[in-house]
Parts: sequence; C-alpha cells; structure tokens
Amino acid sequence: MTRLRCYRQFILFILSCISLGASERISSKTYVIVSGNVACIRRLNGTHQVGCSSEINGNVGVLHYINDTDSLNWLINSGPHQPYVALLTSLNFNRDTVQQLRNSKKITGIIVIHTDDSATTPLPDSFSPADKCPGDLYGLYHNNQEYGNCKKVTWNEDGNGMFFEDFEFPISIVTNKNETDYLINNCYLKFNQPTQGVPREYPLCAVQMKSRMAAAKDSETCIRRTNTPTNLNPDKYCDALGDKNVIGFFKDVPEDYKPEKKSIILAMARMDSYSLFENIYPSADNQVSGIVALLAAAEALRKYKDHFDNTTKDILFTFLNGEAFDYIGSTRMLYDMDKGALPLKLKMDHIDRIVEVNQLAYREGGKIWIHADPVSRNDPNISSEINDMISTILDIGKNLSDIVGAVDQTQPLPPASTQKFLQKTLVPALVLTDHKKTFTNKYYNSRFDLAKTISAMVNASDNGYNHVTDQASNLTVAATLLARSLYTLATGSPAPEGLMAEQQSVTHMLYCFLISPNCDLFKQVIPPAREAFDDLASQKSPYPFYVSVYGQINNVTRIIQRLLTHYIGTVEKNHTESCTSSEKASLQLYNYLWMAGPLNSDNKTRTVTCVKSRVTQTKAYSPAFEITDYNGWGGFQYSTWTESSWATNALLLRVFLIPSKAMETSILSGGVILTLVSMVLIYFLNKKADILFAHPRPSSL
Amino acid sequence: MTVMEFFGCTFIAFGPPFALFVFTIARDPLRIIVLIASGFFWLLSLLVSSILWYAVVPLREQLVFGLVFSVLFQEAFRFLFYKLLRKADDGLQKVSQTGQEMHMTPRDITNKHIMAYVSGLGFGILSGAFSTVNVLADMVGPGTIGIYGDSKYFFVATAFLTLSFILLHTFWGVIFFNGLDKKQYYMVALVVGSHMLLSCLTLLNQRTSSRDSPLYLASILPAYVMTVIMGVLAYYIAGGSLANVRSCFPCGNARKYEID
Repeated sequence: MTRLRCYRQFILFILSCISLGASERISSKTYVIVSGNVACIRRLNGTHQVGCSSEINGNVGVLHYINDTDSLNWLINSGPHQPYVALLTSLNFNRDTVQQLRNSKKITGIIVIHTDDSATTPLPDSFSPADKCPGDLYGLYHNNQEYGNCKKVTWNEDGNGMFFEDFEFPISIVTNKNETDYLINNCYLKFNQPTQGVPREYPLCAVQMKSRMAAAKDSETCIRRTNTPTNLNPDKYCDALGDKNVIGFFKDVPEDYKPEKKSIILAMARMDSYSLFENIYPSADNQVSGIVALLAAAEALRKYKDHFDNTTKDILFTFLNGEAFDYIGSTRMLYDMDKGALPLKLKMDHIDRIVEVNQLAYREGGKIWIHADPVSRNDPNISSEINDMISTILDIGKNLSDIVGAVDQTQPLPPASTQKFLQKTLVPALVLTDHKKTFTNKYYNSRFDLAKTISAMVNASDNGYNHVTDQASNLTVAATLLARSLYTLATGSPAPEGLMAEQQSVTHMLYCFLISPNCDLFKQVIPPAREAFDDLASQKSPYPFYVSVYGQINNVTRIIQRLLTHYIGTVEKNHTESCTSSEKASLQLYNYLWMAGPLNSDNKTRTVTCVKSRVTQTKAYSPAFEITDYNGWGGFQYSTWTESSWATNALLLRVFLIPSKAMETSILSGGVILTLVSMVLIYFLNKKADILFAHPRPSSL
Repeated sequence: MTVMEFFGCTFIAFGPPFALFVFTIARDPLRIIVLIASGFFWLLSLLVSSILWYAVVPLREQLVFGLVFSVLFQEAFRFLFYKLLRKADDGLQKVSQTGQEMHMTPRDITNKHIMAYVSGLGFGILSGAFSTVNVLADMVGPGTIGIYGDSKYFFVATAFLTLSFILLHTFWGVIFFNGLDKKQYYMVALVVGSHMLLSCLTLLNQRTSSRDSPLYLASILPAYVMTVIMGVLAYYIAGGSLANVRSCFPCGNARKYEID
C-alpha cells in the first residue's frame, strides 16, 4: 500500500475525492461489487443437471432493465449490444419471459430484484418453481394408469418447473435495496437506457455474474469423479443432499419395552422445501404451518400422557427431512426399517395408522381437508378403517366450528410422504392439508412462501412475539383437531374437552420459525452454552428450510428435535448421571437433553433443565449413496439428488463500464504501431550512432 | 474484454523504452549493470520519500507535499549515483570485457555520455514501472474505469504520460551528468526545475470539486513539448548536431565508411 500511495503522488492518479483518502486501488474505481447477490445454484439427480452455472470467469453482459413488455421487446428485437444481462422485476421473472429471453440468444445472465421492500418487489399473483406434479416419479402413483402423473388432479397448477430446468447462464437475485437502486439508477439509467428507442453509445454499463458450479451432467458422474482422485489434492464436485429425521415416541414405557404389531400411530410432517435461489428457503405454508400444528398437538397431548398406558397405542411423532427431493427422509426411514436400524427395531408392521399433516396455512373454504388413498381402498378392511378414521376426525371437527372436510374418495393422495410408506405396505393413512384439490398455495416452494403471504407477519419490535395473528389462532384450532384426533385414534375413547392446543405456543413458534429465531422459545430449548446463545443472537433471518448437503445437521432439524423433546419429554428433577453422560446414544430407549430452560422471575437468568424423552434423530440420507456400486441411478427407487460444490470465490456480481470496441482496438493498435516504429527508429539510430553523435570536427565547423 | 486495453497501454508505455533497451543496452553487460544500479538508486529515492510521507502524518493526504519532496529526493539520488559512477570508473573498466581483451579503454568509459544515458534510462524504466504497473494490473479485468464518472481516457493518458517520463528521465540523465562534469550547474538546475514543473502539472489530473473531468492535455502536452526540448538538448550535449543528422541520410553513408 505504501508503495502504491507514495508513487501515485509522483506521476498521476485521479482521485475522485481527495477527502476520502488515497488508499483505493484502481480496481475499486472500476468495479462496484454487489454483495446482496444470491445465486441460483446447480443440483443434480441420477439423470440430469438442473439449476444454473456461469462460465468459469463469469458471464459479462450489458445491463438492461426490464420492467414492462416494451423494454422486453426492445431487448429481444433491437438491442444491438449483446450479450445482455437482463434485470427483471419480481413480476416479470416468470418462465415465459425467461424463455423468450433465452430464445433470443441475446442474454448471458438474469438478475431478479428481490428485496424486503414491497414497492420494489411487488408480489406476483403466483410463482412456484416446482413442477406441476411434485414428487410423482418417486410416489405411490408412478406409472399408475388411473392416478399417475396427476391425471385426476394437477396439484401444483402454478408450478412452472423452473427449479428442474437446466439454465446455461447464471440467474441471481439482488436482495439489497440500495444495490438494486444502484443497478437501476447509476448503471442502467445513467449509461444504458435507450433514448426513445435509440441505443446508447459506449461506454456502457455491464455486469459480471459469476457462479461457477463444479459438478456437471448427473449425480452418478460427479460422484464417480469425486471418488476418483486425480491429484494429491482431490476435488469435490458434488455432495449428496440429506440431513436427519426427527422421531419421537410419545408414551412412557418400561426399559424392557418391545413394541407390538400395529401398536403405533405415525403422526408425520415434512420439514423441508426449496426455492430457486440459495439460502432463501422461507417455507411458511409449506412446511412451517404443518410443523407448528404437529408440535402444538404434541404439546397439547403431553398433558394427558397418563391416559396412555399399555392398553393404548403409542404415537410416533415424525418430522421427515429431504422430502422435497424425491422423499429422501421417508425412503431412508423405510430402508432403516428393513435393516433394523431404527430405535426399537421399528418395522412397518408395528405401524397401525398414518396421519400426515401437510400445508395448513391457506385453508380452502376455511377448512382442513382429509385426503386418503384410493388404491388402499381396494382392500375392504383398510377401506373401512379409513372410513372410521375419517368419520372420527369429522366428528371432532364438528365441535371445532366445523373446521374439517373430507375430499372425494376417488381422488388420489396429494404429494405426501405417506405415499412412500404406502408404496411399501398398505396401511390406513390420512393426509390433512389445506387444499381440496389443487394447491391453495400460489407460492409452493418459492421465495414468496413468506410470513406475510400467509398473513402471519408481525413486527419484530413492538412485542410481535406475543401478537396473536389470525393465522396463529386458526392454526391453533387445527392443532387442537390434530391432537384430539390422535388421542381418539390411540386410545379409542373420545378426547377430553380440556385437550386444546396452546394459542401462545403456536404464536411463538410461528414467530420463531418465520420472523426471527432469536426468540424466547428457542432460547428456552437450546443447550445452556454461551456459543448457542451467541449463535442464535447472530441469526439475522429465519432458519432456511432446505435439506442442504449431508454432513452437518441443519439448525431447523436440531431445533425441532429440541422443541419436540421440550413438548413431550419429562423434566428430570434430580440431575442424575444419565443427564450428563448420555446425550448421544441414539439406540437407547430414552434420550436426555440439557436445555437452557425458562426465564426466572428476574428476567435475566434461566434455570437449566434436563429433559428425558424418547425423541431422537435418524438418518435422512439416500441409500443410493451408501450402497456400494449402486446402479439404480435412472430408476425411481432412491433419491439421487446432489448439490454441486463451488469454489469459495466462485460467487460474484460486479458492475462496471465496458469500453467500445473501437476504443479498445485503437488503443491496442496505437501501442503496437508505436512499439514497432520505435523499434525501427532506434535500430537505425543505433546503427548510425557513430555519425549522429560524432563530435564535430574542425572541418565541419 | 479489456485485455486489449492492457496490451495497448503496455506497448504505449514500455514499447519505446524496450526498443532502447534491446538495441542499445542488452548486448553490453557493463551497461546492464549500470542500468540496474541506477534503477536501484531510483528505488532508494522512492524508499526515502515513502518514509518521509509515512512519517509526516498530517500531510499524508496532501499530494503536493509528497510530490515536491519525491522530486527532490529523486534528483538527490541522481546526484549520488553520479558520484558513485565517477568513483567506479576504474572498477567498471576492469570488469569490462572489451577493456581486458583489447588493452584499451572501452568507449563506454571514455564517452561519459553513454553511461549518463544508461543511468537515465534505468531511472526512467523503474519510475515508469512503479507508476504504471498497478494501473496495468487492474486493467486486465472485464471492465474499464468510469463507473464513478472517471474519464475513460485515464488508462491511455497514464500510458502516454509514463512514456514521456521515461524518455525525460533518460534525457535528464545525460544533461544532469554533463552539467556536473563540465561544472555547468545551470544545467543541473534546469533538470531539477523542469522535473519539478512537470510533476506539478500532473496535479491537474486530479478531479476536484470545481472540475469534474481531469485536464489530461494540460499535463500531457507540456510533457511532450518538454520531452522534445530535452531530447534535442541532450542530443547536442552528446555531440550531435543538425549536420550529423543530415549526414546520416544516404549521401552521408560514404563518409561513415571513410571513418571506419
């Protein structure tokens, strides 16, 4: 730096602003880095690659802002300075526009504006990057003549399938409002905006988009390449998706307990979703509403735990992970059942019934809808059991302001983990969700599935933590319904009147999952360690609901395990050895977790508690990556999703000017000509040096 | 891509000095030694001015302060190098190949202007490198300067100004050494004065609040006028004349052979 600074005094350096000091490099006067850049990344399955990647040095294009059809058409029909990078508003970013731009072959990248501010980022009527029939290939109805491929109901009408498309150019969103303004005002309007349709002259403002992905082709290829080291510092091209499932048995049982056949009710919810862009996985309707309802139901049932004895059935609360990627969690759970790797050596024949909750936030007609599988109904026993279950739940719903309804019997199950279990063994199973036919969620698996779209938005300041939204009170009723239904299904007797979900808990959970994880509920259940509190305090945005690569356990998974433990576990009064020693053992009957505990009356300290429960984690990792020489990559048995890796410096978005070709060429040719001319000149000067520098002789004077 | 700008500006700034190096310096080890040594002296002057700049904290932001002292230090080190070179005559003669083989004093030593020219070029190349290399390094990316409103001619102006300073240093070397040799101290003063004047003119390349675009021509034109003047002066000092130039052209060829 000193060298640089010092020398700049000597010959020349432009200082844009002397008062700012003189320590910048020229590159900082040439490039403006856009830091709020979130890229679309590449993922792979057994047969394809999807998502986006840039060239190795990034794609450079002239920025063109598209906010209406005119500007879109101008770019496609007359823009002369290709390649372009299109800056799209949230309303314009849809598959049609992207397809038009792509077909024009004039663009080299797309930037989408996505800020918190609703003025710059208006909410589109619908946007879902998922496909129209999610999870069909791996589901129960794959190849089914009657129900397969969404023949009866197209679940996700608004799905544009962009998540499963392979883009040959990068797509990013810009999340920072100031940077968005900079792109529009200081880059596009200042340098690029055509004046009455006439393109501007160079220098033009351009953008470099870099998001180079290491993996290519498909999971099989990149795993093979990863496993074949070619040098001493092996490269990693992709990582398998996966995490952990959280499962928790409800009943208190003696140490020598062995489950009987058909003695367990599986109460399931899914934990994950995705969106087109890295780290923006809000998932308010899909899946937070379901998770919150199931957790609240578990909490409500806890008060009646003593009603559950050895004559009643057990409830297994199950939160499955990776389900959005071809059912990673449920596939693995079934695989582990076969291998006897689950606690209690749980098998499919221990399962009596299945109740799954899916999306619950956008209740069609104000109701929750019960879906059942028409294929199982071919078995008369199962059919009648399904009907019993439905009528039980309908009865309970009647007392709860008629909150529940049943769909047409011939309608197949919506995309749900239950499909995977039924694929294995047919058992009576119900899926509770908010849509009667197609999804009521217009933003399924997208970046718009937010607290504000399910009207659960509260202010983080202003006591938002305790503010009961309409959504919270409705979800509380749904949780009560769920709790009472599970109670009746497990005990066979009607649920007591007092069995109600806590509105406060639902409110808190919605806040913690959707607004900010730095909330009192989460603080109660995290480990009583300074790092855990610091980590929570450092979270600026909600936890992402993306399964992500297998290895480190996701925050969401940990917190759900702890919440479930908190809700159905027992606080150990005298802290025995078991509390301090065995937090890890997963095949034991009981697990013990240290929790920070509730606030004391002084509002500063917390009473550390040790909670005993039968809640544990199981693998949610596709067997495809564990079986040696697996060759079912093209089949639809095990999920094959992987995520490409990228170098640490691979994501970059920067803005700068590009000179005209004429100027570049004249500079280069000027330099070359100058050099050649001076070469020739000096050659001759040197040849003739004797004459040129000959001291004048007396004669010539 | 502005790789083109990069190569263009590199050729502009360093093409002619490279030609000088190839045809007049590279074949003679003695000249290379002197070139490097004078470059090293220029670096020392840079070091001293850096230390001064770093030490005087309140004036760090003032370009003028650093500039004036940097020029003075450079000229001081040019003087020191002159002293060193004159003391090293004997030693250089010993290491000179031609001197040992032919048992005669090599022309490099007898003709004082050659070493003055070589040391001037050494000064120039180093100063040119340090003023331009960091600019060149940042030129290779996809973009060019200007997003903050800076002039698009910045790179070209840098390159041309660098070239003129390299050539000027070369000529200054010849004039300065000659002035000291012949005790014509006004020559020395001329070199220091013109160096100072031109360096101060480059201050016009700044953007200030009252002036949005820098006045590149205000420094480049005087720089090249000065280069031509100094070049002619150095040529005359080194023994050239208009008659010599004329005799260079075809009619003069015969005379050269006569001399040989």
